[in-house]
Amino acid sequence: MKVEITVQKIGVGHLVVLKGDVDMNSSPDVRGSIAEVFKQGPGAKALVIDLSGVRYMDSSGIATLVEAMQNCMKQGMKLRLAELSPSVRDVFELARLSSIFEIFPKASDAQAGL
Amino acid sequence: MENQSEIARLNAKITRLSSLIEVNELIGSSLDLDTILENVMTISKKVMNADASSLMLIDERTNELVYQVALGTVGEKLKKEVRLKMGQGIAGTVAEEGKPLLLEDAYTHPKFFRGNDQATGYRTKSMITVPLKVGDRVTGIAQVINRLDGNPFDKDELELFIALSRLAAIAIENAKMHQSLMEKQRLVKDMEFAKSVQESFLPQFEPDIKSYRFSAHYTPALDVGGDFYDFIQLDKVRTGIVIGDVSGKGVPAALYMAKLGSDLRTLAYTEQTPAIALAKLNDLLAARSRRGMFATLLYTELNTVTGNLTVCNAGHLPPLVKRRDGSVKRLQPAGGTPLGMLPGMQFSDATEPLGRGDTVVLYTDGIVEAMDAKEALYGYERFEDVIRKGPSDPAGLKAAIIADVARFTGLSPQHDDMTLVCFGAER
Repeated sequence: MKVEITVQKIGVGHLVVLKGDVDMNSSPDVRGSIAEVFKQGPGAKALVIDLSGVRYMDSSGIATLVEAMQNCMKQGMKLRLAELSPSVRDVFELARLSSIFEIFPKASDAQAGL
Repeated sequence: MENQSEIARLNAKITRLSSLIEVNELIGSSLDLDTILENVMTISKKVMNADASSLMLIDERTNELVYQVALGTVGEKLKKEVRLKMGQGIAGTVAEEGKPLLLEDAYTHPKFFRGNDQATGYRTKSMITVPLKVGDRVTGIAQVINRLDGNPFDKDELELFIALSRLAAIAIENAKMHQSLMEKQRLVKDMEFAKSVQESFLPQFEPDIKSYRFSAHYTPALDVGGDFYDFIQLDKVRTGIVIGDVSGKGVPAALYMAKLGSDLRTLAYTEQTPAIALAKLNDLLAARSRRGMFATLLYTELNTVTGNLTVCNAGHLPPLVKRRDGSVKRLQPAGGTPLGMLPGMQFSDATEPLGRGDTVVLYTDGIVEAMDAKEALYGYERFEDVIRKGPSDPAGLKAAIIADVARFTGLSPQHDDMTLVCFGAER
């Protein structure tokens, strides 16, 4: 299944909404879209990624998020993940990824306190 | 007089036809692209009685025409320096339109670029340019310039050059296909070699420790993979047993795994505890992070005197322990994050006492996430069930698990690397 990616500007920076499976086949597309966001220059405080439409994410999907986080840190931005589906949340908990990523219940919550 | 000129015309035609046959034979005699290109243009120059000839092919990446062969006084200079865009100059126009062009004097054509002549002092006059076509697809152009006797090229010669170029285009395409087939075969051979190199990184033998048994299974989904396991004999009492899974698959994962495996071996000997070793390994990997790659890793240290197992888990799936009474215990989930994401992470060690007849099962997600034809997951329920019902000795249990996973997946292709390590004390 292909992933649908929408990117929009929000007050604190950028919002990327993903819908579909983020796996070996689709993560290069996600990576490409996130790279476009970083090309838009300084000024953004955060990159928020809404994962509510993602039911499955494999290790290459997680690697894509790790790279996004590392790039955010280089640019003084925050990466915030929002609304993980139960199956993705399980993967994150099992691998202790909650101590790596900032995770919020909703995309709107992720825009607060910046 | 008329008869004589008719005879001369027919003679010329015979010469052309026999040269076409000659061209066909010469072209067919090689599958090497460079040889074919040289042959085609040498013959063209001779048959067409031309002062210069050249051949350009379309570079599919840039959609530009690139000189492959340029014979004549300025040939080498052209070959090195000139690339043409579609529609640029005579050659670019012929390639774009896919139609042959005969010019008595090139200077009368608005698209003719005089720069090369000005730079070299050469005077281009009569010229034939034809597209090289495979079916309807233009793959390049061939060109002859200036008849040696000073007369312009005529329509008969245009026809001959079109026929000649048609043969050349097919021969070039065959050679290209041959070349790409050879490259593919070389890649396949390289991958087979890489597979054997990677297999050499994995332990060649199970540890030989009195009253303990070890058994491991590893199958990558592709030729090479990002799963790995290792046995590290730290001293007379302690043995490190490691299993890990690098993000992604194939060559990038395999290279990452090779580096990680050798760094871990060094740190396992030099650092006091598994937790300290993994913290240092994490920092090493995070400092060289590329594309967010990471690894989950489970480092266990078995003390064969006390029977204690020290477990340090960096984001990996928790080990399972089959007790002597047949019950199955899933150990605590990971206490630490996967390796290589962020520097400065801390890890912790937990201790699990093992008794005689207990068997530890380490595994990667390729086992629990193995899929059947309907894409259903093998899952923990089946996994723990086969462990519960299977034999207690590590080799027997490993075989029972692999057989059960194979039964479940049937003929479905393996989509992830699968690794399994079983070990324990004899009863």
